[in-house]
Amino acid sequence: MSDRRERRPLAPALPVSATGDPETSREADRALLQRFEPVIHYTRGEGFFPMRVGPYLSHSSLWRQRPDREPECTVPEGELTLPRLAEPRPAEFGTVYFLKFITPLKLTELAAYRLQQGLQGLQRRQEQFRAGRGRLARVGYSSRFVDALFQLSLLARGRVPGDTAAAAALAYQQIMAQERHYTYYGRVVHQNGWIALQYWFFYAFNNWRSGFFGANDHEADWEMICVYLSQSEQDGSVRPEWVAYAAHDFEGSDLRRRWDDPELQKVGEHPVVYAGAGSHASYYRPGEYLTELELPFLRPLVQITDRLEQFWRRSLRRYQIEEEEMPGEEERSFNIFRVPFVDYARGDGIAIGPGQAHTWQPPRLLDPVPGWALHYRGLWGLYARDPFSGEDAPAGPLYNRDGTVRRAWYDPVGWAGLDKVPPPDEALAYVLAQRAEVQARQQALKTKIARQSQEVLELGIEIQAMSNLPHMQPIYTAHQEEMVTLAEGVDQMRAEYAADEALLQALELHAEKLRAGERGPVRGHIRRAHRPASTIGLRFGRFAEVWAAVSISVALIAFVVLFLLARQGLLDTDFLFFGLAILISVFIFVEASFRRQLPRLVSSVTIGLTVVATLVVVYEFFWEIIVLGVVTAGAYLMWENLRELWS
Amino acid sequence: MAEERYDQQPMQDPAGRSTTRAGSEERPWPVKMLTWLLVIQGIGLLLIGLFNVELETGLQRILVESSFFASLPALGILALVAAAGFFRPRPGAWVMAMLVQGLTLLITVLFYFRYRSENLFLYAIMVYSIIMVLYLNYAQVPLVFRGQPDLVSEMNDE
Repeated sequence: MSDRRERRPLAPALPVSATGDPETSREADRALLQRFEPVIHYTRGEGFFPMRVGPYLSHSSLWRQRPDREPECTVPEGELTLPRLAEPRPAEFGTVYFLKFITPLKLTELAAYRLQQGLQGLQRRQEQFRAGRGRLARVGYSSRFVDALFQLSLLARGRVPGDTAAAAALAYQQIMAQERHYTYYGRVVHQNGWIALQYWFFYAFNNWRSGFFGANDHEADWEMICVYLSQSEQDGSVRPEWVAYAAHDFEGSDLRRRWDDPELQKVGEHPVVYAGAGSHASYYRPGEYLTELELPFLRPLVQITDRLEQFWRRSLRRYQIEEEEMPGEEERSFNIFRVPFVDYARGDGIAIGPGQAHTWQPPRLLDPVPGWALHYRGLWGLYARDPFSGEDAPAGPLYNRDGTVRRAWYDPVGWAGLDKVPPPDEALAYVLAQRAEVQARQQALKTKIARQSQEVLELGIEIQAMSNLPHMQPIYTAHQEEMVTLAEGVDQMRAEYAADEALLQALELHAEKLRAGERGPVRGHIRRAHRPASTIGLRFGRFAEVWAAVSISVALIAFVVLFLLARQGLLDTDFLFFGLAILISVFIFVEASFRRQLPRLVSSVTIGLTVVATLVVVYEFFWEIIVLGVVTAGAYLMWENLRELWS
Repeated sequence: MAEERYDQQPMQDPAGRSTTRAGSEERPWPVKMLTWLLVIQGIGLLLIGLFNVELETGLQRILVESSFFASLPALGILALVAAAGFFRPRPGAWVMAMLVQGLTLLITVLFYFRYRSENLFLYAIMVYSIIMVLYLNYAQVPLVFRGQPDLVSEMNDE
């Protein structure tokens, strides 16, 4: 494939950060950020878009939550400004500072808002969000049961109150009515030979749960994407090489796509992002993404099932029915102990960016780091005291919720797993340097091997000379021990030498490929990529969806009825268990039929029964199995030896 | 899933006439082996089920008492039907073979936990089914039944 990317000078006579003038450098950074700024496509029904933090603060108050105390307002709404937020705030351990964007609506305000939304919905049906295929229909009973527990847990744990999303939407509409704007914060970082362009997006609210049936709601939301450039040493021109989109606190190579990856859509030099509805997570392709939420108390079960699956697939090399397999990429199999949620990143709503109906304001630079970002380590929205943290607001672009610095901030290259990859122009130099290093190591090894081999030889001669001389026995024994140690050392060095030889050949091959302009497979670094649900996976009937929605409740009621009947003596214990077994079997069978997964069901159940039966047999015949094993091994050895004798 | 089966792929004889491969000639050896194992299992289950009344064993007692005696011949017939599907690999044959093993294991495990039988027949059936499940999931055997003809020659070469 021909590479049509061209190096263009960053700005006339302005190579990246080549000048010492800070203002000129800032202008260069701004120009660079604008050159590659993204186009973001939102899902229909999205209510919050990237904005400046200033207007958000002017509608917020600052609060302090000290351990075992009630929260206290330290700066009331209307008085909070960016400089005021940056003020130092010493506090005792365990204190959490947080912003509060929303004051709860009065009942009349909430009713008026709902009425307005309803009327708008009637008038503009085309712009309304439709959930489409239910998330519960895409997963099994266990996940639905865990989901039911999760939903119930929302009653007990801290969460963002129900009318907050409505109030946030009203507040956001007010801000936009004063000045409609779409803004991002930008940063240019030089690391490991890369130029990382970070685009930070601030949203007033994450209404994934209340607006789009997702996992959580929280005030404030910080999202980020990163474009990685290489820079020519000759003229300072830059070229885009990679991009990485943040999604749900994931990090690593799976987030990254090469600039020539067909999955990455572009408008000119602007990468296209599909934002999750309400969650604002970033994706490369439009679609509906099944996202797993892992509950902390179920983590051991998640790990056990993951390991069992790996053992079956890898260690036993057993077959597993898969719907869609991508060469080189692992199937992102769903763990039954994780809660399923759908992230709708359909891209059928408004789009912001170059060439779209809505465009970005000039970027606001985060370099030098403004005080509000650097000095305020608290949360940017309500602190709901949720033990799972999903309902707590995030901290700023620099910090995690616990006040530690985000990896994406201090190590943008390592965050996307790019620390293992040199910029293309420097790759050959790296390989040649590494080759020279291996050659030098080999040379040193060669000298050492020659010297040590000589010593082994000399010791061998001396040992030979001392044999049959009884008075020399102590020296003979010592020499022998020394010779064995030295000979082992020589063997080890020769093995190292041979390994280096193979490494040298590999490096040479790699260098040739680089000279020829080859860059390797475009998706070779991806192991478990996010993929939107396939159309096959979404082919459920309406009845299947209704079944998915009610099945857990029906099952619970049926279990209770059975137990009540047994308790009142209408069923004996045998029939109770028989009834339970029938009930469970019917549920499983119905589900598998809807999902066209009867073969998978048969396979899974049989494998489960095989495990049980194996345990039974081992339990009943443990010693017999041991004896049989030993006898078989003995017979086999005897057969092999006799065969050798007769041949 | 591809509907085309490898045993029905057209090929030409030396005279250039189109013909159809004989399934049994092209089957990889694990599939052939499984065919005969299924036949043996089917006949065995039929015999145990049909003649259980005459067997003066604990198993017979269990079978009669628990009204499960009819299940073994039924499973035997299912195993023979699955074996027929293995002669000319059909997409459903592998699933049916797994279903036979699943039902056999279910019944034997239920017997075991219900009666704690010491009858060796029970364990023999159990062990046979365990081996069959492992063999049915061996490497790429299932893929043969998903209509991937290239695997046949690969498996025969192994």
